[in-house]
Amino acid sequence: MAKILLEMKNITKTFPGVKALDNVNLQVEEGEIHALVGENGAGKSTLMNVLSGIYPYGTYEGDIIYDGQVCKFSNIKDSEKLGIVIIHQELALVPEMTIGENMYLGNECGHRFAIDWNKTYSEADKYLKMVGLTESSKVQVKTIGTGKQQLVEIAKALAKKARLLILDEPTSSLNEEDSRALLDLMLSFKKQGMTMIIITHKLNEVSYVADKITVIRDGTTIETIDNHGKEPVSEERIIKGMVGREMTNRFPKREGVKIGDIEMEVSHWTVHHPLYPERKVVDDVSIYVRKGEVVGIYGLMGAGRTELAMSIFGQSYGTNFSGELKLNGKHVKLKKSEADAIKHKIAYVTEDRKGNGLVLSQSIKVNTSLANLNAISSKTVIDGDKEYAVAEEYRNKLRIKTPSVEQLVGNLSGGNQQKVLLAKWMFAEPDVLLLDEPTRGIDVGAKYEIYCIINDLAAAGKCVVLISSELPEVLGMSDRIYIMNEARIVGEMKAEEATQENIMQVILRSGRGA
Amino acid sequence: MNNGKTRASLLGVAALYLLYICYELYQSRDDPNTTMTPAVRIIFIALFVIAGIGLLIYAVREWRRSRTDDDQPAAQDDKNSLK
Amino acid sequence: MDKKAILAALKKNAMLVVTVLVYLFFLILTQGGIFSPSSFTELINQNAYVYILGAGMLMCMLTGGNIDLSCGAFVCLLGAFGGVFMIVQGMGTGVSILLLLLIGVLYGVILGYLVAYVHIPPWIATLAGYLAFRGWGTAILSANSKTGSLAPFPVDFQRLFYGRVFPTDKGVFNWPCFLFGLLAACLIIFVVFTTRKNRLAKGYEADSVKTSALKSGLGSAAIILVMTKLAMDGGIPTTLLWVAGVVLIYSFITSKTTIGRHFYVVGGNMEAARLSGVNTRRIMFLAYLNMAILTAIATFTVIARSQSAYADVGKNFEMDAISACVVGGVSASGGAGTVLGMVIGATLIGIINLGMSLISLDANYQRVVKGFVLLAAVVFDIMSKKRAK
Repeated sequence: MAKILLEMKNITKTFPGVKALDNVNLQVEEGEIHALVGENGAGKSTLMNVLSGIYPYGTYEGDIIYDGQVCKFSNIKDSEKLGIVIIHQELALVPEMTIGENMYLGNECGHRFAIDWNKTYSEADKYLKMVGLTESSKVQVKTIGTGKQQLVEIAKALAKKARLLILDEPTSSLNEEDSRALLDLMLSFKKQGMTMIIITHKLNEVSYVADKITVIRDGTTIETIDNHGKEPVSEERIIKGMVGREMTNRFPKREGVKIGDIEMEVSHWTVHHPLYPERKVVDDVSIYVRKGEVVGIYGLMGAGRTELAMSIFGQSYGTNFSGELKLNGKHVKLKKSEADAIKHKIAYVTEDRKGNGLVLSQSIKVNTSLANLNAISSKTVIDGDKEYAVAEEYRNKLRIKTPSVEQLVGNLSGGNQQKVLLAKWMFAEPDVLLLDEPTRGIDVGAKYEIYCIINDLAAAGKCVVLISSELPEVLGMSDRIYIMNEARIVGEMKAEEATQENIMQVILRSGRGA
Repeated sequence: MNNGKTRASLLGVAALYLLYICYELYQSRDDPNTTMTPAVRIIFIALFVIAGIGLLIYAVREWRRSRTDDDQPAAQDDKNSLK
Repeated sequence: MDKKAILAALKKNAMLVVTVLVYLFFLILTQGGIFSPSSFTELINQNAYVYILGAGMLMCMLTGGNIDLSCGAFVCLLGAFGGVFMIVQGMGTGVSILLLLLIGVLYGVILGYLVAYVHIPPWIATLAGYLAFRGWGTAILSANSKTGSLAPFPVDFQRLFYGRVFPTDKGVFNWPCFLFGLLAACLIIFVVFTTRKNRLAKGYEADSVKTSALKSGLGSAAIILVMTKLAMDGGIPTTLLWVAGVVLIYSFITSKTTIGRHFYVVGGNMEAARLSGVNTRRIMFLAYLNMAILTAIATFTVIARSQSAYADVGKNFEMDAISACVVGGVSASGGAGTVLGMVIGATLIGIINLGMSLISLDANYQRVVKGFVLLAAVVFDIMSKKRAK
């Protein structure tokens, strides 16, 4: 029986009004990779914050037993001294400083008043090599990509002589290639005896690296699954634990699919880059969407899908537009104005809800009414009661988890924020909805709820364009799929004919000088 | 967010005003009507010079930080993976 | 239990509490001088421009921390034009006012266009005005007058923007003023309680009877106090009407109109506002056009009070307006702040200014105090940003 390095026993943590952790138990063996999974708000990050000392001893009940000793951390430094190092989701690097300066921030080599930079940089280089980075530690952080910055964070943790490494959503801002590299790095660390806890939403990663999986839901430990078997644990098995019900269908069934006439048609649509006018970001695209239909647009990063959607939406992105737009059979020349597009019943739901979708400093109520203020006001005077009622209506309809619609959107979880964003556009009563990555960064349960909303929209006769980089999502939700690559539409398939393989084949075959 | 930059410029304006106050205090050193002793004047000038320059540096830093924030979203594009 | 509630209430209305404390501080320092009827009048007359410019500055800052550095210098320039129209050329008051407003609109249109459509950063665009307008105004004044200032302005102009409404001699209690105060007080109590009743009827949350009584009680008491003091000093100052008018109109605009809402979201997240169909460029344009018009109105009150146009008029006006906003809780990054906050900020600064001149504080020390107030406001803003992170 392998030695248990860490045991968290009966941990309970209460915040005013809410019990975040309720008698949570966790056991991590030395040298294993232990995955913590659960929906947003289940308590995973809170548990790790208790472990690392961010919530100091005295603010929680229960015991942390590390290396056989009961621990009473009063801050992060205490836990780091024992080799427990946590790497948070948001990178904590200062872009202007060099890698070396970042790695030893607060931890400098040398005396208090005379930092030994030579030693700092040579030590830093040592750790950089360990994580597979070839850059010199004298390089400024902002010059390297996000994937490499994440590795710098790990190197920083190694420099603190980590024995138990906690990674909170380490691949959330990485692409496929960098994610795989990071996971392989974790496996190589494991061979050297490092113990790791990984918190992640990506279940395929869990199957790949984890030895044991602990599922947390609503602040309690549900179960711990062993992944040592011959076959890695299936994603369905993990989802079942997380969500508490059989999710045989990750995607809800479409009831009463009734596809009507063509609502929106775009022909020979070409758009040029706003800063480099010779470059085409959308090249001779022709697509159409019918009433009650869900049309998926799939493509790799940079394929031009967002540019396509935004350029249709009142030319809000790009320059040098050409092509025709037909709404309901009639030719329409939209002015360069988002308000005009909204008037023509088109809605664009951005992929970056925090950056340009929602006003985080305002309430749910204000955000919900934003695209259609005229409906709740008479002659520019806002009817506060009507606005409140509308916000309440959408809160119930979309099941937004919040005590009140006066709550600031910035305080909501990702899934609920996305719901508010959808509510805003639904309130604008469009006929065509362009959804750009609507379930990005959202946990499994909330994703399902959003899929249901999409299906309801289609059932109500709206046209839904679903732009997504998740192949299973596109396959599971669409009636018809367009495939876009390098600014062109390179394929169109009906849902019944589409599979992961033949979609990828279309992309590979269409690549220019790949 | 453009707000970071405008906030930085507002703080910069405040910093410049503090330095302007120093200038005014300095200009009044020969004024016979003032009750402020030279010693006190120097203390306040020094105080506001330090505060003004400190605030100016902070404002410049905030400006640069919001500029790199503008560049960050480009890095986030890596998120679009195949899965 | 009540102690905690009181502390929480104090925290929420921190600026109001600070204002009261500072007032009490000066009450002691001036040995009651600041409580005299003439002080109340002086506070309103001396400070009117801060409230009016503050309202304009608030709208600009809401769009994202944008400011107008030129308003002080523009007051000087407009004052010079006004002097030329009314004193040198002898044009009628009405015509002159119209012309001056037109000039203000012209400036606002040009400035708004440069900021909103040519995308020149506001502080650069208005800095040009700050540097150029005072020189221009001074040149006009010296060309038209040996003393470098133009005076006096026609009586009917002064009566429009200075003096008293329904004046009585000092020593005679001004009943119209007092009755006006009573009316306003009753109005406040009425509005607070009917709003509460309506909210409860529709099923929303509302303040308890105690809180409503407290709020409306304090508000009415304050109004009655102020109006009584003014009544003892000869009646309602005309500037008070202008200030009250501006404050009420802009309170309404910011809290209840779609345009006001647009200002808040443009400052909160300009891209999100744009993608939601808000014409962000038009909002920026309007912010600066509006500022120019309000600057014109402020100019009228200022030159009517000083009864002359001179070269130094308007010095520091922009900093006073910005300070009033920042002290009053208007966020330096935009998207947050209220007219009420600005009013409290302006009042605080006004009390400090008046207090300092009542105790005849040396000009240098007054500058030092102003510097400290600005520093405190900046530190407060930086710390609240840090806490939000």
